[in-house]
Amino acid sequence: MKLLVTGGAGFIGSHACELLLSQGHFVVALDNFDGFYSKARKRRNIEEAKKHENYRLVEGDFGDRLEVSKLLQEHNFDAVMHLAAQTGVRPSIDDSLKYERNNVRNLIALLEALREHGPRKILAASSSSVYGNKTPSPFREDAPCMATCSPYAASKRAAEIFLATYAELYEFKITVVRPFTVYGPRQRPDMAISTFTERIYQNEPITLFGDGTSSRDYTFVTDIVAGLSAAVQKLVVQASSLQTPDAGKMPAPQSYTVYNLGNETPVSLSEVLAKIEHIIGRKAEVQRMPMPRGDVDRTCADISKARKELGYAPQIKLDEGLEKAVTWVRRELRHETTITTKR
Amino acid sequence: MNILVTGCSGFLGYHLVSRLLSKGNDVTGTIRRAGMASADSRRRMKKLESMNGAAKGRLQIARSEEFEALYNTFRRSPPDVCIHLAGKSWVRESIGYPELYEEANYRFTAALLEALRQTGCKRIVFASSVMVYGRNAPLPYSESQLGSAPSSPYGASKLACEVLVNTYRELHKMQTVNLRLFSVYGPDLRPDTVPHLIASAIQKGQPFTIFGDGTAMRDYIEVDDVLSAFEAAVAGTESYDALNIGSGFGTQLSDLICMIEKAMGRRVEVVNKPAIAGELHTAVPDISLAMNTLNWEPKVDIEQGIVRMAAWFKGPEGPK
Repeated sequence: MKLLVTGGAGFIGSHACELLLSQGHFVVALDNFDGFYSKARKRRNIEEAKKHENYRLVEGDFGDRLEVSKLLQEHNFDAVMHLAAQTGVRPSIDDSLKYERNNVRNLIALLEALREHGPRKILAASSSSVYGNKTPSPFREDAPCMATCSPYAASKRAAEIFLATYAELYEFKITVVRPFTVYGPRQRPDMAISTFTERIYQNEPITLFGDGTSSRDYTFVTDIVAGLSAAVQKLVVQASSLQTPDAGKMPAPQSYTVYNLGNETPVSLSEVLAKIEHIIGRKAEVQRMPMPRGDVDRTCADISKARKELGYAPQIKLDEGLEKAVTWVRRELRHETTITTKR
Repeated sequence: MNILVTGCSGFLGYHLVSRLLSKGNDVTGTIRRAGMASADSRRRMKKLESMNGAAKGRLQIARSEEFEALYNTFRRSPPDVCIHLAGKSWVRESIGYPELYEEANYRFTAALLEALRQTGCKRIVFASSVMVYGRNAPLPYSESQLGSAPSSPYGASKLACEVLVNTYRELHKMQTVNLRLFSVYGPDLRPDTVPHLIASAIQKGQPFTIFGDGTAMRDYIEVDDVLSAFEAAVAGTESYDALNIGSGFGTQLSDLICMIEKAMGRRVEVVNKPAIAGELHTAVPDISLAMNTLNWEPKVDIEQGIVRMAAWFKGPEGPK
């Protein structure tokens, strides 16, 4: 397969590219290296992928219709894996229009470019935050998701709605995945696991929001990208099987499908902290802050649909995943310290 | 009370602002930037501005779609309640130009909500649409059964706005109501609506084309009944995810044509064409939730409503 991966230098994007390359696919990664966090870090994210002959990196914005149209005409992609996004629940509260622009308006620009040039096949990453605080746990894909808790979540839900309409109206084949609290090497520096680890290593107090009982269905990044890879292959294979002569005999594949990619194991924030303390072998000095607005109390995925239709089966338990995540954060810290010292 | 009405020079906005002003409310209206307004919109604005002084309430106008300008307007005169009607609403146009509908409907709503939140507005009533329902939504439409995705970017933009409105309620404790309007008609209605197209064909002596066999059914609700629903929604303090606002009765296209012919006093030549693939046959709501929660009920009988619309059509202010 030949795939365009937006946000290809990001946390999930860079892992996804590596997996797809190892499976023999051709990957064009599109990334604007925006400044939400260190560009140098994103450059390091793609060091492995760049060694591969089937990898191309394009610096650009997925919302730039001309740029994207050029790429689409240049390559004959089988599908687009759309992972680029303006992320972050808390910063979205006071900067909501930025989230509208990057997650909704730019998505329409991308979809219009695809409508014009093809392929009309897209796998798009949404977010577990679309479930808000009113969906019964564990979250199922068919929940209404009509009230989210942050502008970030609302923008991801709006994106889903427009995607579903494109599938309905313009004969797109669209798969949406909702990843649940993804963590692991290269994770974003604003995530709790990152900040906890950094602060503990640096002997600084950590900030714990809420009473520690808020829980998340932490999912290790390699499990997520395995799910993404299975989903995009199903999307491409199933969509092209429509053109075979005996397609009429097969059950009509849905043009719009949603999958949760989670771990079915919510863990509380205080438990995660305890595990990190155990791994590092040092207690954190904790400063408590009230639960910020916009955060949901709990996320928990029902993954039976992805398990059944994608063969998705998360492998990495939290203890094992945290070891890897903490080790990575530590190495990054050293790396950055070295750079600072050299200056 | 200072009531903000976005899109005050539209069909619904014009009627609503007239009523609010005559009842003594102060109204801030937003319209598109100068130069963007249609002839209809300019004509309505003149009439509204002429009410200033004559009516008990006062009207002030803000021309803007951008956050900064909205924010500055609201800071000078903070709205207590917002009735959000502004937006593009031509379904077929949206299918050709989705990005216009994302911008005019979703992006504008995002900017508006943020400006309202930052200036302390407590209550928002949003005009959503029957078009949020998907093809396979069970009939009659009930608020919690949306079915598959909206079948137009217009519908998608309205549904996405509903989610955003609900999010502002969850996050900022604002009171919010989403009203899903069915086919609104009445004097000065939008030229792209079916009743207008029929009456216009009659007036000009042109044939009217119907797609399908004429049994396609919609819920036509007279503008006065919609205004009373908005008034009821503004007056309350509760929040509602969504309420269907229709007459509660479905009318077949062929019956609607007969009623308009009778009211206009002339027949129309009907040209039959095959139904358009994908076009919904029937779109009618269950309105009991709105009736019970808003203590509201539609009162205008469709035949009388059509007579009122036809009178406008034939009168001095009707289309030429």
